[in-house]
Amino acid sequence: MSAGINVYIQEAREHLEKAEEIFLSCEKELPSDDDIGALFRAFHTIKGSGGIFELDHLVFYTHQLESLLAKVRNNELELKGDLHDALFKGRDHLESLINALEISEKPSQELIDVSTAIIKSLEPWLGVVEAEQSRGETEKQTQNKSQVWHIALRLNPQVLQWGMDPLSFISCLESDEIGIIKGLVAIRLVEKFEDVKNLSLGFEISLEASVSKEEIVENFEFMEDGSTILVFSDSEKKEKKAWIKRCESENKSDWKKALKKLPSLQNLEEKKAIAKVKNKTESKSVPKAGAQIKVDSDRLNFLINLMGEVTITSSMVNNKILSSGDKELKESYESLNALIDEIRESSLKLRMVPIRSAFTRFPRVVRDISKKLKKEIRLVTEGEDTELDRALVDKIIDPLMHLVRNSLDHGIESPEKRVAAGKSAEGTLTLRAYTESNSICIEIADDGGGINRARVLAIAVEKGIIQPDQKPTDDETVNLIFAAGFSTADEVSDISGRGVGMDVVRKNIEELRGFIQLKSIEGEGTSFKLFLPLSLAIIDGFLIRSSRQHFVIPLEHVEECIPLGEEQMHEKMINIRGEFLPLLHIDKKLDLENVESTKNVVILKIGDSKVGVVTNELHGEIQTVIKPLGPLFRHLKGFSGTTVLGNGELALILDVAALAHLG
Amino acid sequence: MQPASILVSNIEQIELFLEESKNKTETLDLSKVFEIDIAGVQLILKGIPIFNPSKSILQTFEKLNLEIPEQT
Repeated sequence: MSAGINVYIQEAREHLEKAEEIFLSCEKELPSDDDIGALFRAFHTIKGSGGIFELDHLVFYTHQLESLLAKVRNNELELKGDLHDALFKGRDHLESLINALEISEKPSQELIDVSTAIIKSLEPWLGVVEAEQSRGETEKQTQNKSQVWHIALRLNPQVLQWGMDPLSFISCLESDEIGIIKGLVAIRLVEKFEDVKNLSLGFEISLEASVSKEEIVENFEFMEDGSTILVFSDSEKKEKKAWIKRCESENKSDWKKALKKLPSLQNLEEKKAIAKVKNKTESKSVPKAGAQIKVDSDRLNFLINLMGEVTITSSMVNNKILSSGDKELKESYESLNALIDEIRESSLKLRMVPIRSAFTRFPRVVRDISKKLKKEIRLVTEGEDTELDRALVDKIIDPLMHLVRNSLDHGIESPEKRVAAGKSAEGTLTLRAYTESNSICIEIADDGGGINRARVLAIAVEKGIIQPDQKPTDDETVNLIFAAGFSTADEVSDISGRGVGMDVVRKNIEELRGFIQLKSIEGEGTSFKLFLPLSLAIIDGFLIRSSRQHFVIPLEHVEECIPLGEEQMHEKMINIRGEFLPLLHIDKKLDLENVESTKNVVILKIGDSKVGVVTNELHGEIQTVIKPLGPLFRHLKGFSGTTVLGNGELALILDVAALAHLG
Repeated sequence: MQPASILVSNIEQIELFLEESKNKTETLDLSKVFEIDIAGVQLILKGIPIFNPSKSILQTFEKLNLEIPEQT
């Protein structure tokens, strides 16, 4: 798959996500003009960019959806009822077509058949649609016909500093034989040209060409960041008017020239338009510099890996300086280290994205599943702006989806059962994200029936997960749902209940150095809390030594450190200000020969529980890079990776949640 | 400094020129400028004192439908 089409797929998905959001909001109230405009643009862009890659079927299919939306935009149709459902279905199929591009640019016959059926279902509003082949030919003929395009450029003011001359790009329209420039007018965007380093001119161009809109835009692709590049044909009157309206505040005399001299602006109610162009002399608005730049995630990963290596090397240098005892060198190193820390933080932040991108898919899931299950469920999302590593967002979607589906299927009761239990008929599912110390917590909570302990125990015994004579605690009982092969579903459904879910969910979260906490009150509801690290690449750790081996504990879990008295050295519990905590002796756990008498306890907080880790020496905070365990050691429980210390020695990173579990 | 090199895509040179021309009162002869880019166009729009703009400058301004500011 080419890099270009990859970008197209990503962008199309973003447009489809936006479209889904609007379709969902339309179920509650009629969409605003802005919503309809945004929907139209989403489909229009997917179609237009699809044309660049010659995705003929996708272009043909999207064109039908776009045509229907054009009718909605022109107030010929209302986006509600059957039309809404048909278009929503159309969007979903478009998503399938986009997803299929990852495998092949040519859709399967099965997908084409679905497209045909959907287009057929649109005929009550759209009229009879010509067959794809003949339609495609008609479109190509239209495309090849020469026409006058209007190009409006409001480029990022910084393009000159990027070493680009807009004039040469405009000249390329002719030199690259894209078309013939029939007129060009520069629009002054400021009253006084004080800062010549920044571009303060806009450009309105008439171009006679027989190419597509996308081919024209492509000419300016190097200057796209933070720029507004609009291309519309002479017949697109609405776009033209909207554009002129948008430029009302710009230089009146320049616009008068543009309206007079550019053939692409001739077929317009000229006088009216000129009247609208206000004579404003104060400083004019210049397009804002690009707020966002899209960067290939591989490049970011490379940068972060490099930062990791810098961190290790810096630590090695620090060791050498400390052993040399050179004070001046030490001071210089500290300044350098502060800068390295800042760069490290900044580069990690580059990969941080709001969790919103993961949450946006759930309104649709909740809508579809609650319809299917005939349940009334309201989704509440909170903390969508909480940021976490992009790599984590991608990896938590499946576990989240599983938990949400389980809550919808098994957690929230049917309206009848809820009413009988004295609850409102409508159940609530809450997705909440927040930062807690150095972790991210994502909570999935429902106000359903809670976990039925008796039933869980019966199933666990029946499936041989526990012995009939075992008497697990309440906490252990509810956590049995994470056991492999456990399912409480009476019937295996396509929503959940195949009994392969919850253990996989827990495994996936633990692989991300996270853990799950489950709380359930019978009759009141269930809450799953997923605790995840902020980043997967670099860790703020606490270095300890047990026997001759060094270990790193993720700093977010460390509560306090205390020396261990001789009398407590072999105890299994410790009393910390009246609170009894279990002790985990690392040397014993890992069978390390330990003859040292000095021992310390590091108190760790894992979710709501605490544990004390007994070790010999405390070395303090360390920032280091996580190197994953090799395939041979990946099955080992209790370790989430390794790291290289400043002296070149390897240290294992403790997976405290798993260790506590093992203990 | 040759004006010809000032007006061709070099922000650093433009900055240097502006700095150096702060105290100058004489106007610049632009008759030998063979190529002008948008930064150069903006420099002229800013109102630097010039005379004898070359054919290339005149054509660029004409192409963009802009006028060279009157020299005072």
